[in-house]
Amino acid sequence: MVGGQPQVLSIKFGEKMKAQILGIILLMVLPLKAENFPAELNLYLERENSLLKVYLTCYNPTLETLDFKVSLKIIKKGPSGTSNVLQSKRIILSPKEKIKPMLGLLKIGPEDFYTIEVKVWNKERRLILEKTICSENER
Amino acid sequence: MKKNAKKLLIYPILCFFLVSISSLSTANSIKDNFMNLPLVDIRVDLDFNYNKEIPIENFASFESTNTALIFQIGSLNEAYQTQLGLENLAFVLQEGSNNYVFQYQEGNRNQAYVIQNGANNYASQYQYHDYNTGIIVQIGYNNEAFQFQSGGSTSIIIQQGNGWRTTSGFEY
Repeated sequence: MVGGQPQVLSIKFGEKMKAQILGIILLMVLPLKAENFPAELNLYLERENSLLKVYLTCYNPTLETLDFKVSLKIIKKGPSGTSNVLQSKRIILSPKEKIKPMLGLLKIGPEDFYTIEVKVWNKERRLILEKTICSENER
Repeated sequence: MKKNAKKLLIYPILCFFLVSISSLSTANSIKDNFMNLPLVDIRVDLDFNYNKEIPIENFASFESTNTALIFQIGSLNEAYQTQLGLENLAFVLQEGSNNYVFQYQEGNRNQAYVIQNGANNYASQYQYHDYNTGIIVQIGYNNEAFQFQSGGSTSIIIQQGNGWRTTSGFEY
């Protein structure tokens, strides 16, 4: 009887954990498309409890090397203060190569407002894509 | 009464370190799982600054594979860290309000950490080149964090608390 208790408890604990994990992770994928730009860019927003994880994936489906620049700007404002993240990187992608070049992670509270801005420049350093996402509680 | 006093003293400190440690471990796991970066060999013996009085300004500048630590307790402190080269670690812990941190790292695989406990604090991190990690943890309200990273990097900002001012200080 004593030996059986931990097994029952561990099963319940496992079930509970699984439900929590399924319940609290929110994943949003935003494809970033630009004209005459063959690279496949996706912006991932992953929300786990109060943590917001923002990252990009870049894939080169062509047989040529691609050269471009990406920037990611995240601004969060709320009672705890202001967070500013500005990341940029020149990316050279080999054929069929896929990378995750940058990651931003912020703690977001219920009263916080945040914006995420992605910009892409081509090889000639011309801005070819600009996307901005705002949180629901926009002020 | 003594027990309560001890609890009042110990719990905030304990919570602060737990939050700090969990944030750092989260950062490390994200970094390892996400970008498969090599672990950095850290040497801690090159510089150590501990300042308990206010106001004080520190400046630390090194080349590769070094660690710079700054601990400041009180208000109106300023911490400046500049590291050039590879695999450096910069760490600032400030306890108090109206403090300021500036960290600059140029090179690959650097790590910069700021932990600030209090209100009206400001932290800025500038990292150039690839595989860098910048982490700012601010506990309190009305803080500001700024990170600039040029290159494939990981950025983490944790701002905790929407406390309000009381006669005895701040509550969270």
